Amino acid sequence: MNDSFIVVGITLTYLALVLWVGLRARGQENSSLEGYVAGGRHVGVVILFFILGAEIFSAFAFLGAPGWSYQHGAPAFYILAYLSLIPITIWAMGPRVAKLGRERGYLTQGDMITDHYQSKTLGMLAGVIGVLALVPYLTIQIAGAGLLFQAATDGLIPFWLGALLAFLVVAAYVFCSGLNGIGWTNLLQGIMMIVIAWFLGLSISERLYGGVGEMFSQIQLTMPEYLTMPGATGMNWGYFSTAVLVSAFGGAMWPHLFMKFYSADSGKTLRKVSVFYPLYAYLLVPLLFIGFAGILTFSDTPLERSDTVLLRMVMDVANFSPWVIGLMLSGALAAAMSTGANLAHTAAVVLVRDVFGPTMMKGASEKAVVSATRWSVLGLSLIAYLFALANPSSLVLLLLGAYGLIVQLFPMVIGALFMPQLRRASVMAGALFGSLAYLLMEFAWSSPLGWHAGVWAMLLNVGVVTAWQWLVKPALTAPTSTHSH
Amino acid sequence: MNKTYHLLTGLHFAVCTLAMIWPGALIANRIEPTVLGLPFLFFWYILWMLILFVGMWVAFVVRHRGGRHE
Repeated sequence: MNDSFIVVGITLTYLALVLWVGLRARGQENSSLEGYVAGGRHVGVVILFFILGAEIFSAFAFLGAPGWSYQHGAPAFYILAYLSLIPITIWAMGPRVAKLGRERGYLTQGDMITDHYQSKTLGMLAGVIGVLALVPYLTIQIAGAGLLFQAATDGLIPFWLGALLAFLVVAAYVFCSGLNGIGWTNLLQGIMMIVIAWFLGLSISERLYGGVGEMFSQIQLTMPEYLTMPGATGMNWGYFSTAVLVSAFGGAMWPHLFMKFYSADSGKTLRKVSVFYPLYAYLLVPLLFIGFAGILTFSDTPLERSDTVLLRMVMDVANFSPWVIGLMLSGALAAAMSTGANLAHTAAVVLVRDVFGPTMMKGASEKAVVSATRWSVLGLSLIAYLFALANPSSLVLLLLGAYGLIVQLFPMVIGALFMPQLRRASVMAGALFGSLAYLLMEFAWSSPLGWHAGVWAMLLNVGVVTAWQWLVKPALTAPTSTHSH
Repeated sequence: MNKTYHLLTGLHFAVCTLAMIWPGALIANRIEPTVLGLPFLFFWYILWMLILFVGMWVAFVVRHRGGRHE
């Protein structure tokens, strides 16, 4: 039987299966959100670990992470660092978020901000920042799916069409309100992803070099610069360190994670989840191996697009059976698209509830809100698709860009949770200046000292908040606050 | 929870963070000695991921031992 026929067959069958399960799950997504984190009570930590793991395994993990270790070498350890440091923020603020959310019935980040600062404008600002950061994250999933389709069909489905298919599947998932991938499907998928990642990482280094240790000795002999900082591309410590910090502290600000904190049944559950969170970084280790394996394999003819290193290794170099390739591709595709559906859904909810809610949809009916959310899913995914077509140079850089923006929410969230003396005008000024400065540094200026621009923007953000607190005293017209927190 | 507890957890978090970025990771920026077949810098990250996890686990057990504290 024709090999590529098997590969395409498995991929399409698996996809159809996932889509079918997803569409059947119609109307359950709200209750299952709660079971997701709070489910720790019933399902035990091991199962919870795999369920959350499925979320980590997205196009970023499968394509972006090996892409970076192939292209840069050691700087890819930044992924291990920030992933394992994210739980610090979850540990510190998660339980308080969960408590407030439970008591006051919050759904989005903007709900908490609006309520605490008594300002719909500030809630809207948080919503706008959230949506702006989620779109590139969604772009990663759609672009990744495009690459996977292209590889699975041996170029028969070109990148633009593969990304378009991914966009359609994501939209279909959410449009029919069957947010798949939560609960048992996610558990199975999580286990499958972990098994595939470790199998590929170990067997590729075994087949090509005779083992992981042997692989690194060979890299050390010919290209040792890949194995230590600053890596092959001369990434400085300043950029590396600030990228880790921005991602680690921005991580817990993501609306799709933040919203799950609300559903935790207790602070204890959230802390338990955060304790195990550093272990997720271990799951990515074999994927970094694959990138390292590619350094020597493709040393003569470097890949045009480093994010394809895992695909090229699996499809062309390592000589796997078509069954393995088919399973690998379809698993990664399903991972990219279920994460994509989750992101698209979150972005749409935030857009409609936090941004449209207080403005053009004031007092809109439940039905109108649901329909606006659906159309927003379509609109936002379409924007992400168009971004994907622009052929982003690196999936990791896209994500790093998004982190720089989402981290700007940090001061206002900390204010709402722990520092009641922070006033609405101060945090609003901070977030505005921080976000604008960040966007300017990303697109117009360059970042001083070559650091991640998110850190400079964050410093400005905190500086403005502090200055505003000290210098701008509340106006005389301000009512004496009787609002208690 | 008392002050010592918060101080120790905070310290643990700070040390783990600094170990993974500049300047902590500077001291590990080398290939030799390889551990488990990994270049030393790679192993350094693997090691600190484990230290972070173990520390958090201890903090969790201490905090929630016996009771259902928030």
